[in-house]
Amino acid sequence: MEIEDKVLVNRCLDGDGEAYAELVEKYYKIIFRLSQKILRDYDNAEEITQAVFVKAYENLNTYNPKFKFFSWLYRITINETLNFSKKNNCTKEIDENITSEDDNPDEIYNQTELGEKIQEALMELDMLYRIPVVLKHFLNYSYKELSDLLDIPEKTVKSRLFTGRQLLKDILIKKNVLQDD
Amino acid sequence: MIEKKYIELINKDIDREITPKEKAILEEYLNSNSEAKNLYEELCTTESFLDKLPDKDPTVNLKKNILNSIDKNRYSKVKKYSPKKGIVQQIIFQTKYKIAFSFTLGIIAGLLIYAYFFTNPHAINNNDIYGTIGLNNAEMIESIPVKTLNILGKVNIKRADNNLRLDFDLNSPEQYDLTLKYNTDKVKFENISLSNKNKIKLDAENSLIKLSDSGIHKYQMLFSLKNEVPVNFNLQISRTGNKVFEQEITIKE
Repeated sequence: MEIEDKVLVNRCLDGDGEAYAELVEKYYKIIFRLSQKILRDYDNAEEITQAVFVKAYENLNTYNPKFKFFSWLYRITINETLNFSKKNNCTKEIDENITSEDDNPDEIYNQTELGEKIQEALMELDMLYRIPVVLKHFLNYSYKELSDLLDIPEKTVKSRLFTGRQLLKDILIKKNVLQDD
Repeated sequence: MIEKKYIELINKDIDREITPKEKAILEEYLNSNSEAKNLYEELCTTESFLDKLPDKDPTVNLKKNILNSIDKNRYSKVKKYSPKKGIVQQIIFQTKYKIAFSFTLGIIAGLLIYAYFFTNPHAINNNDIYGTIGLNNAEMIESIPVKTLNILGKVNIKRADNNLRLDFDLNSPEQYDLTLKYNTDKVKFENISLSNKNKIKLDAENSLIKLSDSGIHKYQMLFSLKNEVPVNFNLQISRTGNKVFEQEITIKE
């Protein structure tokens, strides 16, 4: 699969415009879902996805084939997401209408509500922790791969993951999504 | 209180980064520490909750919008016409300019060829033997008087650039023969202007002009120089076969 990505990139750089369309087809949904999970907002995620692929295309000649194309694409996604977040202060977006004040925390939520609450909780995490938590879970990257992707030391990746997960747990307990025994 | 190293092992286990040896150590610890076990279970549940995040799909237009945002010819190897480029690039790359340019070039080439081969300020006009042969900016070089038996007159020699015109002004009541010899390596006979065509006999051959006439007449003979001067002419006037006048004419400059 990875070889195929490099072949497509080379074809694109040789003037084959259709080759990039194949790369977009392969990854645009994944990039979108990742952006949407980090930012929560649907429209912004689309905007960022578009920006990611445009930027990737314009800088295709700088892509180093030693690394996975997908990782390079993710790197651009993270940067675009962070830039967007700084511009729009997306760190904490709380929908007060859905904050949990339930008297019965044992009540079974339907999946949609649960998903929304979890998304809410995630949005309360600072980007510093939110990104590595989401990337680790959905990409299943190793500590080393995350370190390369985020351009931070492996020790820092672990620290942020462990702290982020702990904070998320506390938020979920606070929202009565998770029981605190 | 949970030791920091075990918190690390718990997270490594959740991240699937734990080694078998570490796993064994962690399990032993969890079995003996309820607080740690509780934390482990909470963190596992937290992690599993991430699977419940809604997995939304983008709109159907997103891919199309992405592809419309990029310049598919950015990495094209083919030379592109750029409207911002100058007139030279426009002529090279645009067909309509190429055609117009070629047509104009052809017209100009045709005009130049016509001008070179078919127009010459000094060309021979063989049909026009009447009237004065025009010679712009001509300078009088020499005037040769002719005075012999009943033949009076003069020969003026004029030059303009590489052209020589011999103006004969002769008067004789009797028939005479005029012969003008010249070196064809040096000059080329171009034209003659006769005041009365019908009354003379003209015989112009290579290196020799002969005419027979009588009465008052003027002639103009035009020559073009092939080489630099000096150029020599030999003028003879005869009557009834007898030479009555001869003059060597040398044009030096």
